[in-house]
Amino acid sequence: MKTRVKELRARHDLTQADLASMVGVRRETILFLEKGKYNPSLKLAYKVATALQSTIEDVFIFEEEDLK
Amino acid sequence: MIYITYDHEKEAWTHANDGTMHHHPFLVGGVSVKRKMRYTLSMLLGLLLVLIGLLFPIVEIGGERHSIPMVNMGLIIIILMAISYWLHCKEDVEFDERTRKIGGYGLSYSWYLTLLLACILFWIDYLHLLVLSVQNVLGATILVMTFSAMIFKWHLSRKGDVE
Repeated sequence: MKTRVKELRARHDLTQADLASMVGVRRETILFLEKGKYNPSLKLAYKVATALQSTIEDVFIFEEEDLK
Repeated sequence: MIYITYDHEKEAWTHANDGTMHHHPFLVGGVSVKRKMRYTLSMLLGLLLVLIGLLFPIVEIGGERHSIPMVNMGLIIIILMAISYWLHCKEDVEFDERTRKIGGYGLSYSWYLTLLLACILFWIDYLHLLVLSVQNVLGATILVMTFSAMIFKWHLSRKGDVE
């Protein structure tokens, strides 16, 4: 899974800790989200997308390979 | 869609709609009182065990045989809680969905490993390959359960997710 979390976070001038506080998770969770190593729940994906003033499909990009 | 911007100086979020400043609904700030209470109570329990352990020889109940394990247990609880508090006190959030998921899977893997150990110990005893006392079996089970859960959790934390 690819994500645009890092890009959008930088655009809003937010640190990983800021975003983590906004969505109520640990900073490491944001780090793994940005690396695409963690698949978030729908609830967390929604919170992250809202905090980044975007939509879920803009932030998290699923490819055919991810669904196999 | 809600549009918000963060003011670092005022540490608050501004809603573009009305310009009011307040904390974002998802913002969780500071170490929670509940968490502080949990650490304090655990440390008090450890201290209580140490005191009871030290009192045993004085009131002549069991002597050092009971006193030393109790003092050790109390000290281990105090040290573990102090380290845990020191590691997590700077974090706004101690547990989130990822850490809970990892914790759950870590315990699950540990349970399977302990079941495997129990099966192995059963056959060792059944075939008389080793003489095992109840204390040996319980000790091995406690050690394998505790350390395997910690190792699995550590491994999954480094990996990032359970998949």
